[in-house]
Amino acid sequence: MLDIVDPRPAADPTDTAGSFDPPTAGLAIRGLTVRYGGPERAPTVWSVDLTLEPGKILGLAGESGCGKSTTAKAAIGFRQGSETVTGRSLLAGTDVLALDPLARRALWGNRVSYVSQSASLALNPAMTVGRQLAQPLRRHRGLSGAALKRRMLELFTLVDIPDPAVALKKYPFQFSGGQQQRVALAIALCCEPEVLILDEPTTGLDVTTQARISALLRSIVDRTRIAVLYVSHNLALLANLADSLAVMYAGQIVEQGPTPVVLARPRHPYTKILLGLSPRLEDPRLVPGIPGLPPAGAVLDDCSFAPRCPYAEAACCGAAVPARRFPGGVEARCHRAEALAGGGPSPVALSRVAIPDADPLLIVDQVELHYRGAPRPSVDKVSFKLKTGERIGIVGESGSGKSSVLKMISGLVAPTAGYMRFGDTRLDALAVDRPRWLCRDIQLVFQNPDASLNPRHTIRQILMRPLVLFHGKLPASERERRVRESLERVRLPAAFADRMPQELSGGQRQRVAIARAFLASPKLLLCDEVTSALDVSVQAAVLETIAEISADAGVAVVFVSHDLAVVRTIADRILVMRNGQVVEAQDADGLFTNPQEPYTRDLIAAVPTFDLA
Amino acid sequence: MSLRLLKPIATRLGANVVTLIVISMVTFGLMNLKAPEDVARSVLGREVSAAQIADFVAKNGLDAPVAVRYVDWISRFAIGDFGHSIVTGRPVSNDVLTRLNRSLTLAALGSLFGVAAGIVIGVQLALRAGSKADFRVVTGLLVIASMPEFLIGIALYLVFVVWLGWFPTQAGMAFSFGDAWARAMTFVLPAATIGLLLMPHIARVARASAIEAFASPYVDAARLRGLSERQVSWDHAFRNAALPLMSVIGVNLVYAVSGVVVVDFLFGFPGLGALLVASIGSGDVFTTQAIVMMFAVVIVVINIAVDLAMLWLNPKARFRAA
Amino acid sequence: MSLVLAERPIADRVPMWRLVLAARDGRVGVALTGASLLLILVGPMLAPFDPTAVNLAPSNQPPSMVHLLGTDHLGRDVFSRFLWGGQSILMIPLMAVVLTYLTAGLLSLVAAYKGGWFDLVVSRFFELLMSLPALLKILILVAAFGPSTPVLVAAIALTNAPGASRVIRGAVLGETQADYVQAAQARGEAALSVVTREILPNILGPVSVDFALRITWGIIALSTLSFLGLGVQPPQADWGLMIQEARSSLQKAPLVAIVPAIAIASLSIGLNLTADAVVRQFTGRTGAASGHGA
Repeated sequence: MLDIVDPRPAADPTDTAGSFDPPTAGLAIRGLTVRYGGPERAPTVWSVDLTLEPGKILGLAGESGCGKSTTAKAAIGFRQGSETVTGRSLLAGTDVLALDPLARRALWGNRVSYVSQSASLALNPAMTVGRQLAQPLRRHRGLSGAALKRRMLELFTLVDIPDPAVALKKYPFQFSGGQQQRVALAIALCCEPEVLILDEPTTGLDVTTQARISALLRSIVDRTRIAVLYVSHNLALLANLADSLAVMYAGQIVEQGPTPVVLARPRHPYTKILLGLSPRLEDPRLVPGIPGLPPAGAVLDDCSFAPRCPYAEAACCGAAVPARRFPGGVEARCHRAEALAGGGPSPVALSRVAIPDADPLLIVDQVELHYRGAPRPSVDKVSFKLKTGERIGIVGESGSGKSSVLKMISGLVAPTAGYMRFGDTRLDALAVDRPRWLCRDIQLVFQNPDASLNPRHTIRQILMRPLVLFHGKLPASERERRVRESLERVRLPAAFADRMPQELSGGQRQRVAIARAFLASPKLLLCDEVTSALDVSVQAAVLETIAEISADAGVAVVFVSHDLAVVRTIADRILVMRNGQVVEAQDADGLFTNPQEPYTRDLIAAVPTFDLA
Repeated sequence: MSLRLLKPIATRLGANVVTLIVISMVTFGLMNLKAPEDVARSVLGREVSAAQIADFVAKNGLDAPVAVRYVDWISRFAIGDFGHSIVTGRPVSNDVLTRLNRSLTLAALGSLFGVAAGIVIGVQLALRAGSKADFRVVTGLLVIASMPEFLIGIALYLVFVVWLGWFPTQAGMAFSFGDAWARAMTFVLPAATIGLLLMPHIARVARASAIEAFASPYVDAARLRGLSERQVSWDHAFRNAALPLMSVIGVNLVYAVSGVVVVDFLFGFPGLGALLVASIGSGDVFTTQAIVMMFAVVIVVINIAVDLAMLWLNPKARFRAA
Repeated sequence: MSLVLAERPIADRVPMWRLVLAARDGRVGVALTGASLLLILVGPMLAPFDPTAVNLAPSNQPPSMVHLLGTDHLGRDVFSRFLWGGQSILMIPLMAVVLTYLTAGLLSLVAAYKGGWFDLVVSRFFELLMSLPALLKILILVAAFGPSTPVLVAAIALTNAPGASRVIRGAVLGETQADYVQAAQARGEAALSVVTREILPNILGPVSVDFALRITWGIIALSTLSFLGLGVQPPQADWGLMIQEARSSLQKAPLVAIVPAIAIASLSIGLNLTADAVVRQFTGRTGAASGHGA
């Protein structure tokens, strides 16, 4: 087993973020600034100070495009192109950024390691993982022969890869996503580095896999006293894993400090809102989404969050906001930190309707989908009923068959066995063979709004289509009126009708997709992972839109997601799927308070929560 | 390892043999569309008696049904007997095999030059990607790639034969009368033409795949493990760039084989291509189909070799196939 | 709650032709193509002599005021033959590529959209067609049916078919996976509507580039064939054929070969440069316009 005895004394725990005395171990990032293009362009990362201490995990949170990945790469001197990097990054007193390229490369993989988001891309597909693990060991440690082999087996055992001797001879594609990330972790740890940078290492993996890798990481950090920077968009995950937390917005660290202190009393409105936005299992309510979009780069002469901030006042504009210190070792860039305690947006439950006790709208009975040549059915004897206005959530990990259920209901694939009924009509035909009113009644919204809107059509053309298809001969002015009205209902300006999908942000596009679905006046809305491609600040608003409009019109919803917390906020009843089968079906409250099946319990336990007890 | 690979290799061999059989059937069918009397007339001329025609048809076995003649022909072809030319009456195999030797040498020399130059130029461009020089050379390559082969050949001919006078005007003479050196010299311009034909395509693909490989996340990851740039390039970038390149090289080797037709004709090189054009012109059916089949066999061999190389380079395909 | 939407700049909607003309190689390509097309279309009207009339003057005369490019081995006016010689070299490949797209193109479109065994049969068929290089395929067909214009059109169409099929199939398969196509299918749209409204507008770009490239490959194939004496037949005037006829007297009268050679090259290079500039606008990288067409 791996036993690293750190000869250096652990850094004083009171010496937290913002200190300008570089610690003797770990990594001290000071004034890190990254610019693409000339000085006239806004910097992507502005004056970042972070301290990575031995045996501690520093979580760096923020939404997509805030500069957190750029920070992580720039901190170890990795250049991606034409960017200019200034500032210092001190590894035991040596400025990594001042080293020449060769000296820097001698550090990488040796004293400083980096693990990127997708291990399936970061591992060379044409080389066995054993060779990829051996390369840095030979280079930095000069190992060879039996010693090399022994060390490789030791590392694979450390990251819990079953049957290490066989695994070493395999190619990356022969491993699952979680195991690939373990391999990447083994390579990163092979030379016993002092600093480990993890850039969204578990994003895209299932929650249970994510939880296991997080636990593994924690145990490695505790044993090896390595200093870790963990970059993630998932605040709940960091809340559970990280010792201290830094929140990034528009290229700046807006708040940082010890995790429990930040969670208990956020000093920056962005942190506070993010915490409220992240859906919680224990409290299925959401803070309304943050209006607007973040700026493209750092804003230097105002508070960068001011345009979207519910607490903003005149003093927030006109000058950069310096970092202020607060009790408990927290620093935040906010004039109004004291005002946060009271007021501001408070969480609300999504709107719901009482479900009338009527005949079911949709009956799915013993439905099976078995692709030819597949070892097992993708969907295996699934049954459920749905009443008008009811919302059902289907949760499950990748490959559980949850999306396939939606595809069958919407008529994109035909079930290979079983029976589905919508109202009084059997649903066995593909959509193209179904009567038009049936296609109108069942509407589907897809996961990725980048792909579900045709890039060659304007938003108006996209929204007109259901009107033309399902509402017969409407006068042109009436169609135009409905298009505008639908845009307003999803809270987009009517002028967006003239835009192309590429000119909208992801969240805006998803609203257009939702508007398109509701323009058909459906009775049943199928949502396939509709929020998973979106940032948390946008996610809440999209959920709200779906909940509000479906409640107004009494539309039944089947909401499929891998994210239990999101499903919890919107669903009345929840099905848990695994390997094509429904393992448990309960009303939402019951499922979380009293799960019956061990798999459900595992799934719930794996979801990171803000519960710090 | 080798046992597991047996199945994919056998599958590919089988598919190629089927292809070969289909090519032989279609070619034979097309070559024998004409009525036997018409074939006789096109060879013997218009002013022939019915008896002469009947004699010609009987002598060349043109009276049997097409299917019977096909089976007869393909079974003889398999053992190297290509029949007798209906024009000259000489055994086809003599002419075809001596010329095949020369043409393959020519195609191999041309491909070697084209592939080697293409890869070197492509990789050099990839290392300078985005620069002015890169853009100019890429445009230049596109210009060469837009030229028909015979124009490249004529350009070389005008410069090196007509203007500089470095090479004899007719390559064929060297084979009849010249010494070994003179014969070797005849290969230069035709091989250069074939090489120039392939080079731009290889260079462009080599450039694109090298750029793509260097931009891939696993190359960044390898750098971040502290490996030397040499190791990053050879073990990680080039190895993966080789895969798309290999399939393009395969296409180009096949192209080089068919490219001998034009250079033979242009430079008077006594190869298989010149014989093919001549036999099509004179209606020499047996020679034509024998040459087409020879080309097909060579091409299938190249395809099998490329398939195996790809299998070796791409572990994913290796496991999927097995 | 009201949402204040940050204004996102509307992406530049600059027309394609302006982007193509902004690049130097695009300008050169468009200029070469335009000049070649002008020569081909207007040339015959300017020809001073009948291109097929023999013994207008003694054979193999050097250029003079009457015969601007001299006369050939049959005493025909080379300049007049040159002005007429672009007709076949443009029309035959153009007809061939149109034929390719009307047959193989549509077939592949339907096959790729429908999928299943039909798609399998169609793609296997084109794969098999691909197993021989283009020149050999054309030579076999010419050997079997003789070098008449319909045969040449059909032969060039056939050699273009596998490539066109692959481009269309790839584009359609990429599109049918797209969520907006699935969304249309889930709306219950008819197959024809899905193809024309959702798929075609998205594949039109790559397909039109492929169309242009196939014409260049047709030009290359036809001129090669004529050069081998197996394409356009004498006494017709054709650039490839002129080079073939001038081959034996290349030493004495190189101009008779060089002038049509330059014309063929500029048409083909022009089309390729233009197509490449267009491709760069689509994909942001160069190089799509290479390959051997087969």
